[in-house]
Amino acid sequence: MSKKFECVRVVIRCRPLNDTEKKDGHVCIVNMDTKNGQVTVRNPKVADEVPKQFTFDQIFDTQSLQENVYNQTAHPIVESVLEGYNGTIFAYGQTGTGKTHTMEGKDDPPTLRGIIPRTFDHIFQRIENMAKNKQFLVKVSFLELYNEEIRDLLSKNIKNKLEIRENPDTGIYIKDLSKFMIENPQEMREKLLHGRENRAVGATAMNQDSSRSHSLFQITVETNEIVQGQSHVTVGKLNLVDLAGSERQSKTHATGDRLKEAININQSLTTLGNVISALVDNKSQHIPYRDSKLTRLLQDSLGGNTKTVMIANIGPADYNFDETLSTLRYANRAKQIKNEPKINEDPKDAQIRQFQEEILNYQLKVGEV
Amino acid sequence: MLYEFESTLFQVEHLEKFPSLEEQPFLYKYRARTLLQQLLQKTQDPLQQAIIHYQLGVNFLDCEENGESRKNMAKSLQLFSQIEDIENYLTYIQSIYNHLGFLAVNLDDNETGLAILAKAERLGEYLIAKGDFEKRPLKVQGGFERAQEFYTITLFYIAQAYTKLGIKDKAAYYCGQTMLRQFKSKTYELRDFVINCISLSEYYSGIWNFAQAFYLLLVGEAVIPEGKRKKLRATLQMAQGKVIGDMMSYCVDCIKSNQQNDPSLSKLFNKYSITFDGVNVKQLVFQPSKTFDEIKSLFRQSNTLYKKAMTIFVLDGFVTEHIQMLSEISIMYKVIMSLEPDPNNVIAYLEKRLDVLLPVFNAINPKAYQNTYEKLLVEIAEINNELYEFLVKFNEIDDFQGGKNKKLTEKMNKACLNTIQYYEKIVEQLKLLEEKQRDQAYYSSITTAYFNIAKAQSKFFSKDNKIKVQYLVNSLNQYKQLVQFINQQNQQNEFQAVLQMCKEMIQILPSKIDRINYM
Repeated sequence: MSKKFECVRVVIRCRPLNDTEKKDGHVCIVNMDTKNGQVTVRNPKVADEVPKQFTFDQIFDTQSLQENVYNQTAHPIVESVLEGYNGTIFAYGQTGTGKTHTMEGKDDPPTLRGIIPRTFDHIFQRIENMAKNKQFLVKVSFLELYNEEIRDLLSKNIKNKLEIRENPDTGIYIKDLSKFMIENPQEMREKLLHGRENRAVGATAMNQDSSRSHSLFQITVETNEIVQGQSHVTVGKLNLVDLAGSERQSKTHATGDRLKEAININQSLTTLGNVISALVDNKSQHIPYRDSKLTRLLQDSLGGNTKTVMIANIGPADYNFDETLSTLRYANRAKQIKNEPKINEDPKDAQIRQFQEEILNYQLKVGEV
Repeated sequence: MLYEFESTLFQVEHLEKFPSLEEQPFLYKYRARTLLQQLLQKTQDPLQQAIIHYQLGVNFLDCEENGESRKNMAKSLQLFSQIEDIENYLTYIQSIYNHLGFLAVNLDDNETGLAILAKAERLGEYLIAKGDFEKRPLKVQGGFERAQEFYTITLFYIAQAYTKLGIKDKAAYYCGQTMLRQFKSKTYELRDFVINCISLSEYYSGIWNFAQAFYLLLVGEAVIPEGKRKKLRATLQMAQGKVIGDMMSYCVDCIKSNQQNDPSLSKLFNKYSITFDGVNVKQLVFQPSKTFDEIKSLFRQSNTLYKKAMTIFVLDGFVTEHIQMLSEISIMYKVIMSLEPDPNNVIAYLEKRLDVLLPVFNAINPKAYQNTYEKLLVEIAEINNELYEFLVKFNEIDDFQGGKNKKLTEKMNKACLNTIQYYEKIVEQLKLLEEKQRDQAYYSSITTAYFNIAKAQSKFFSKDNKIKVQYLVNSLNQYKQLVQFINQQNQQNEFQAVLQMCKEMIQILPSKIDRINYM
């Protein structure tokens, strides 16, 4: 049976040059063709190098407004969550690229508010305006994933490692992850801030590099609709995922070495597992232990009737060239993320032949009669 | 000079260990580099120069400046080769070979890379065989331990080089050797090591080297402390069940093609190239199974292993693993069934497959487990399809005779109705796809589903002619709808055989209906 799939929708946002960069004489090396969704980056160190071009579902240039970014990325996802579906918004971008501005923004003036505060408001405004025969329950949880270990950022004991489990009815969940009922956007924001503080404190205490961890703020909206005296419950989940920066990509440099896009061998023994996995036939069965925890956590939010968007932030300046290229390549790979392969259910040749024989036999019998 | 040399190296080591800053990741490394370059200007001693060039080579590589790294490493090697007591500095040579080999492979100069890494490998073997080093100044700290570490890295680089070249058997061998080194030096993280055992085992199972595959899984189990890491142990047991199941499938194929007595089979199944010292694990011998009883014994062994794993991977908590294993057991029944001479046992196996799968199919929420639900749905539909078709033949059921055995006819009818039910569910699922997502696989699946529904409708038996006719009419309509569907979707070329059969049934069925009506 063919499987429904949707690729992750990937959008790019480029911030403008800031005052310091202008003062220091930095130039913009990124060109954004919003009409065609094309981002072009030129190498500031090699004048005659062909600029690298990438195409995405949508791009937002330096003049883009917070409201527009929200309406065109997160808004449809939040709407679908309120209708009982799942959705995921990924935020990606290295330090200084404007990720915080895109995701958080500023409260004053309100036009500068980012995706997260707008999401919170959007949910509660819609709840207020919903039909009277509907009841809502909004819950939040907040976890961190570092080095394949899951921690509860809203727990009193952040050091406890949590485990992924699967319930036959409700699907994947984190055992013992705390969930809090929320009644308004302010409470939601407080939980987010509280979790962030815990994340920073925890990272220091455990000597972690916080830029290497992912965080997942999950908002669950349960809707109970009474129709002709019968209760009908739907549950929508919205994941707000702050992705860790990827490893720095290899630079090109001026010594004349060939530019390589090929897969390089790795120095670190930690990648032995990847090398071994690459030996195994593609047709091998899917076993959960092989998946990253992030993939497992989001498996019911990637594909099917779910909406997913990744917002990747980049900086415009020449000194950001390597990081910008790294982000665009990462985002480009994210476009390829799909669901699991299709289940093949082709008519079996043997069965066809068998049936053809049956038909022939019947025809012969009829002929005899 | 010696003092300045040593203190500069100490400073460099200190700077290299500083954590990278996000905005200026190589700041401290650049500072270290400046110190080394200044030091190089001050010394004429070839040994000191050799060491400085080595350090610069490492520094440039860390800063991703591969060209400069290569130059410095090559220079260092040249200088070391001129030193009289080179025997004391062989770990430097080892590391230089590792770096040069790594750099060459990453430039796709794989032959050169492998040749250099081969030198590193031989040197590593020599150093390890030689034993401990005397401690002297100017040498790499750690001596013997460092040689061990560099040797492990050599093997890892060689594994990757062979992977790049697509020479999988050598890549697998060197991956195994790297794991051996990690095991010996106890420099492994338990979960990673066990998962590597499972993945490497899967490779060997894929080339029918079942003994090596199973051995790796036993090693994985052996390194887990007694009573701990139950999930990890259960994952290994699941993998063991799969290896035995795969071997069973292969042996069945050999029996069916009359190759079970091929003398090369034993060698194919038992090629040990990776064995761990210090682990209490036997190298088992896997004899090819040649008879049905031996096949059944493999089935039981695999089933037992899966059952053990399922005591940990219970449905409520581990849906994916639990259902994966049940699916594997169902497939094993399917495989073993193909050798079963007794038709009653064939029926029993098909029913057993349904017994295994139906409870979990009904227990899971289709929205939460869409993939899993659909896979089970397809398998259950196919099993019912196979069951009723088998019963039609075995029980000699035709449109007019109810078959030899009434109970079997009832079974057939039940399977028939189930087939219709489950293929209709498949159609429902497929229709949820949006227009733009309807690719060739979609058309293939939906055509199969419609076709099987039509066929099943025509096979339902009833003594009541009215009921019988109704099913035949349903079948006829279904075939007509399928023809219309294929034509409307412009899929005539892709489904010629199906189209042809539908047209023939559209011709045949009216006469069947007439005959029954006149009875």
